[in-house]
Amino acid sequence: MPDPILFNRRNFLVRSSLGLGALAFGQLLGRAASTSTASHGAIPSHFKPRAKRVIYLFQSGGPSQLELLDYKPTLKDHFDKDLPDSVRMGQRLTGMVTGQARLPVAPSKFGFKQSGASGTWISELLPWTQQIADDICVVNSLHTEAINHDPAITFIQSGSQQPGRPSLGAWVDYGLGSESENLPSFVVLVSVPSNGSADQGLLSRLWGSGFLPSRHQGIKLRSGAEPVLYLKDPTGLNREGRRAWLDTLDDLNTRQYEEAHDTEIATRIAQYEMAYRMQSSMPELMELSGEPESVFKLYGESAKQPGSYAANCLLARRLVERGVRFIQLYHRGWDHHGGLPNRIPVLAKDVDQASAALVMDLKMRGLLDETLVVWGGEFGRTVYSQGRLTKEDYGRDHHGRAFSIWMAGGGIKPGITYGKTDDFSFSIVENPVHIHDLQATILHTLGLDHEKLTYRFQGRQYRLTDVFGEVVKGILA
Amino acid sequence: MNRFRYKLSLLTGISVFALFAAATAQGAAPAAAIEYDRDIRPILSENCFFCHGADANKRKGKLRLDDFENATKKAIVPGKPDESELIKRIFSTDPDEKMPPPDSNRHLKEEQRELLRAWIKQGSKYSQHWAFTAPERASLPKVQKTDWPRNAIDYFVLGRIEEEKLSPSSRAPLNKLLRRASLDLTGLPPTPEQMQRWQREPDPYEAAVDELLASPHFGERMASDWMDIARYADTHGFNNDSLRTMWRWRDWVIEAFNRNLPYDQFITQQLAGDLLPKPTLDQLIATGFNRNHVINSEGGIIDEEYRVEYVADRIQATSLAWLGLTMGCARCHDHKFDPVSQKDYYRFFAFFNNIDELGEDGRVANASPFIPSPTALQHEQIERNKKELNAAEKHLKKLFAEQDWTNIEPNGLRSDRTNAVTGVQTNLVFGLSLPLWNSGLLQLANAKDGKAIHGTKVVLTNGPLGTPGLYLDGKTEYKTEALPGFDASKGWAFSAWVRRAEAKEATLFSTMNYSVPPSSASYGEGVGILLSADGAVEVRLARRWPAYSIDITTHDKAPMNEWCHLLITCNGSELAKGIHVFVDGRESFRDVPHDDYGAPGISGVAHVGCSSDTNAAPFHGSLAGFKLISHPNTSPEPIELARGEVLEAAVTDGGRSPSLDRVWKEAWLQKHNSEFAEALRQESDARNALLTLEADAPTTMVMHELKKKRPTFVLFRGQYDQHREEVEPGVPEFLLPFPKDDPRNRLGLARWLTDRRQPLTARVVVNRFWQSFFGEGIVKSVEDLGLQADWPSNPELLDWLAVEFMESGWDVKKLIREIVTSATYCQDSKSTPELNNRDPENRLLARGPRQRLTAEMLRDQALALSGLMEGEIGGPPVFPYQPANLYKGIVVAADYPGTSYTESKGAGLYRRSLYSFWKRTVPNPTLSTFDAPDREFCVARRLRTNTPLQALALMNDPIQLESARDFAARMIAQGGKDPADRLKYGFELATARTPATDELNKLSTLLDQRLSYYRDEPEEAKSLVAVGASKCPAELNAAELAAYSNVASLILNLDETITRN
Repeated sequence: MPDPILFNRRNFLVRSSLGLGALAFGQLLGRAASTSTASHGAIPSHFKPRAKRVIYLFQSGGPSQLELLDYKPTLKDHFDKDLPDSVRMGQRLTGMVTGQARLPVAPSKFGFKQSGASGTWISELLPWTQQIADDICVVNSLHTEAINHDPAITFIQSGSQQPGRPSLGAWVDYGLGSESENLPSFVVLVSVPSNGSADQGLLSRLWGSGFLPSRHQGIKLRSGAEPVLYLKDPTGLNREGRRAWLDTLDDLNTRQYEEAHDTEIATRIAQYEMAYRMQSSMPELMELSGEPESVFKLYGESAKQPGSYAANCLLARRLVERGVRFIQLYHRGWDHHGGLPNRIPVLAKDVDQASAALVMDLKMRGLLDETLVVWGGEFGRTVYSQGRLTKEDYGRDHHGRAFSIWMAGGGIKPGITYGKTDDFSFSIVENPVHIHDLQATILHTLGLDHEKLTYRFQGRQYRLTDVFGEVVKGILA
Repeated sequence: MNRFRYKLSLLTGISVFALFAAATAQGAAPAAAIEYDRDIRPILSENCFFCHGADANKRKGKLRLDDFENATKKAIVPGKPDESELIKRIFSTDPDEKMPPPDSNRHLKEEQRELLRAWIKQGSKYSQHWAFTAPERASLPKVQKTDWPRNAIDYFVLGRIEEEKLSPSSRAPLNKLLRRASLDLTGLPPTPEQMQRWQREPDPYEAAVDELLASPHFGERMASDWMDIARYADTHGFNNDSLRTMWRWRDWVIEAFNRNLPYDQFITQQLAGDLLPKPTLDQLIATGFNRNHVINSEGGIIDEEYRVEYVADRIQATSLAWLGLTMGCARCHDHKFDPVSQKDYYRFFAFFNNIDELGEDGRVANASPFIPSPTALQHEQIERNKKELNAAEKHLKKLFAEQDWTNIEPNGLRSDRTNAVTGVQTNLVFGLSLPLWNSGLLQLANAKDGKAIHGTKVVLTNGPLGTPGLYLDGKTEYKTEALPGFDASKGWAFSAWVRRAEAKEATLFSTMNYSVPPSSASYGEGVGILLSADGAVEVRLARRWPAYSIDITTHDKAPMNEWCHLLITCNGSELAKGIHVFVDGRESFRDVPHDDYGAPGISGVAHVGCSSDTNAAPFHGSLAGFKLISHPNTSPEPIELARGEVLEAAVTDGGRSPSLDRVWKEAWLQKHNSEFAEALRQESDARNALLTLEADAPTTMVMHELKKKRPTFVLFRGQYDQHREEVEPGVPEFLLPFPKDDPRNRLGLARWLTDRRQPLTARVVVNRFWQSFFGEGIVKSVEDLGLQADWPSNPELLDWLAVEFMESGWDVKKLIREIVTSATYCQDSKSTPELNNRDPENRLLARGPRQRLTAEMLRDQALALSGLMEGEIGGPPVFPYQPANLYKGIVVAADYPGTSYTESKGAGLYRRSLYSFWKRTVPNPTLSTFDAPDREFCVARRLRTNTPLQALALMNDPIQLESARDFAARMIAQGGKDPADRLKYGFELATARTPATDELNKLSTLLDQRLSYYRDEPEEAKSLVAVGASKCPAELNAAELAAYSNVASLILNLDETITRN
């Protein structure tokens, strides 16, 4: 009886040129042969997906909702008055302001405008975002329990404040697998603010696979000639040389497979071929010079600068076009404890145009419907000033009880504002959305039931949303 | 607890092995009688216990299905499935009736339902979970193929194989086996010399095993596995992720395996080394196991929240490592599956809750508690130095005593002092001199309300230099106006005379700001100089007390009722190393209880003889000659100044005070007696050398009990601030009651864990060792032997090994020897399509183990084959190649230690991967690619993936390329003249197998192709072989070397090479 898994390299190449056979496809996704299946992901879709892919534009450091998306016109009457106890209700403070004698209210220095036909309130700091008001859903009622960066960012990206859980992208990759034959399915892009100041570290666990197999971890693309580590062959070994090398390797490995019948060997042969293809597909992906000038006009001149936020947004679009499942961007520098009015415009300027351009671009290309775009940070900031308060200068501490994000595309109702906070943007008064709810909703748009997307580890079934989370129906299209 | 006594009694008289009798490899339904433990519980546990199990809070319909008594009250009628509500419900199609409920995401398969029906029909017998009963040694099963077994392991394995109508594989070819054993036991491939030597032995394999077990690399290999469980790293984790120093603990582990420390000791010393009678340094270092957890230094965190996390982490690590229980599940609620209540969890928690530690700590260095932990070599040097110092002191004393002092006049010494002082003062950058008796800065404050009262009479006294000092009555508080302030990071010195009138703890000088709440980021900021009750000098420098501070206590003590001079110099560094304390002009040895980021600015109000801490008592005694000097870094002037002052005072004192009397006499002798001067110089050299040695010794974080016990409470939902019932230390007693006579501390816990009757520990340990050699444990879920555990592939074997292990005195090498010399282990690893079908995961072990090398082994093997490896054992972490800018755009902006990466030079690039620097938030990418965890928490098994990134790493990681180049050079140099011989030589080194002709032909073809290419393109060849920091063998022809490099790289990428097979 012929071994169903047995195939040689040439046989394999024939298959890959014809489109991949089911088995080889599973192997190409990085699955161990012994566990590979014909399906793309571990879990069949639980219901009809609205989105196929996610671009998460993560704003690390805690952008101030008061300056950007949560308009509080009555605050100006409270300038420098103490935050009323009736508002604070004894909520805990971070160690950074416990020594402060007062908690004086700091109204935002920046104006807001009702934008688009929807009349969504958006800050003057985000003029481009104002232009996509009718395409996005602003959520002003997100909340988290964490009050410091590390636990908060770990929470929103992995569902737990403590390290050790798989990241959102890893869960999605585990659930849905890849659509791309020659690119990794979970890609990470990191940019720093144009003024160079980014106090908070990013942690590779944010795109890690936790207890899921490591093939689900995000691949961080680097700017420059080698976007994936060790992608480039050494100088002195050209493409033909590598091909000949690989042919010989494949032959010897195939022979070994025929001898030992270990399916891992078959997988390994396929992975070397995938690696070989990535050596061409990755540089092609990163090569932005072929984009027409109009694209750079849309995303901004800085999109020509590798590693900038705008360049990463453009890359995100290119990745989406190539079927990459989950694209996680990070932009750092939103942690404005002091001097906020001078610092936040820099960050807003860094991200506003390119974020909006990405949504516009996806829409033009007909990709927005099947791509979910999420924009936001790990928590918001306090209405009271940290440190000295003047009309022109103030700082804001971390605030998890209410903050804002926006979402657009696949499965999300456009042109609405969801959830409401009190007059101080301190507590939520309508439609609270917990971190786990957001996570459940993101999975939902992808056709995944957050209660069914589970993985067994150390004796129990784990899921992204722990034992919590409800899909936010109110924002679904 | 009671319910388990019931369950235990239920089990009395039932042999555990009866339960195993019908075990199958995959835990599938057996043909024979149904066993609750194996067949039924997994179904109930997965589908029912969540709502009908041990957790009373989640229980629905007051129904429990996890024990006979409760289940038969309501849902089950033994022997009568049709009358059992359970059966009705699980077969029901009515969504309101159906169990499990349709919205629960749980679903019973048809065969599971039938199995439950059959089980009830057979009488619905419950039994205790197999792993919760002490293991017993089973008799060896009868086997047909009697000539196959080599030891007991083989009888158990063969028994199973034959039961399944399979037969074992043939023995692996010797060379292959030698390579397998070498990689398994040392993590390194065998050298050709070893291979030749072993082949000459009468029993080559036995000889190899003996040698490998005795090799110092054995400890490295075993330690490598242990690092994941112990979540060992060189950084603290979290946002700032700066450096810690724990490699002395890592080296302890290597050493423990190498000297075959009995495993019960391995447990005891790591858990409770500090509680052993008169613990040795090694035993203290061992306790670092429970300090390897992540530690957060993010500003603004709530201290207690994180301290609680650390304790929780210890429970997770300890229970996973030695109990195979996921106790962490019971942190927020009773365990859903295992009989561990939330209260049990916090009783266990109490063992680890009494450590003198902080939640927020470790911004630039180790977090307290830590100890100096000199290496054996350093220790030897220190001991030698102590002896030298001792001898020098003795000699000095003798010369001193011989001197007749009757007619000697000290006044002649004054001029020395004057010269010294004059020289110094012109060099001061900024002098904030506070001669208290005439300073306009001084205010006097009422001790009661702290308000300044001007005009209180200052009580003066005679200072040691003939000038007035200030008498402090132990009640009044004195403070200055705001100091002008200066940048302490540039260095400073403090100098004063002190005379104590009362033996109690007091502050001499303090700018520390205790007036804000302890949770504030600026609490305690400043500098404090204190005396303890016994007169030891304590220096505190804090940005935030105590989290970001340096704390130093001298060994020398200020005497009672005598003037004593203190000098503290600080070079502005953020660590204790930059601070020196001189008592009477001589540097004192000291202890450093805390050492982290303490370079505060000095400004604000200075308190004299007290601090802003209203709970602390003021100083009772006299102070004089007070100076706080801003001073550039390490220049010696302040020390000269102090020596001058001390000498001056000694002369002035005229022999009234014994300690000062010694000072002038020494000075006199130094001037007039050359033998004494020489002896003094020797003493001073020895002292300085010893101080330097001690300061250079690494520190290690350890477990250290607080004197006053910290109470432990049940925490509602696991929240740090939600205290409920107070609990005492205790264990889940269903496993084994805590021995009455043992202390209720970690030492007692260790004894409980290593008790012969403890059902879990030995099973967990042998199972994990088994995994190290076979790729999977006998129980696959090595981290969980609880109710949710995978069914053991061979329960009797597991228990036999566990009993054998304990009875051997927990002899690790003996156990491993038993494993690797078994016929089971020595089988060929080849499979067949049929066997793949029957047993795809090789659970039955009808063939030998076959697993890809670990991330560490892959790199180490390349280094070993190329000859690049530096084989030294232990020591501080090294910094091998890492892609440029790996940290860029990721790590925290502040320049903490560990936020930048400086590659090692020379040997550090080629050490074994065990020693590679491990930064938790940005781990080495190649290690991660090959499935190493990030070590943020403990992990007992690595998944093995197979990805394109792995291919890229093996193809192009510079260390792989550099290894390929040197491996190529080795093939050329040692493989003979003929290219085919060279290829054969390389192939054999890597795979321990002679290549077949067709294989050799393929390699030769590639070599020829590459050779002709590089001959045409000499520049390409040159750039290919220029890889890496090591020198390219210059005598070789570049084209030839390049071509062989290509082939060598291919050999290093062969599946066979990267696999233990």
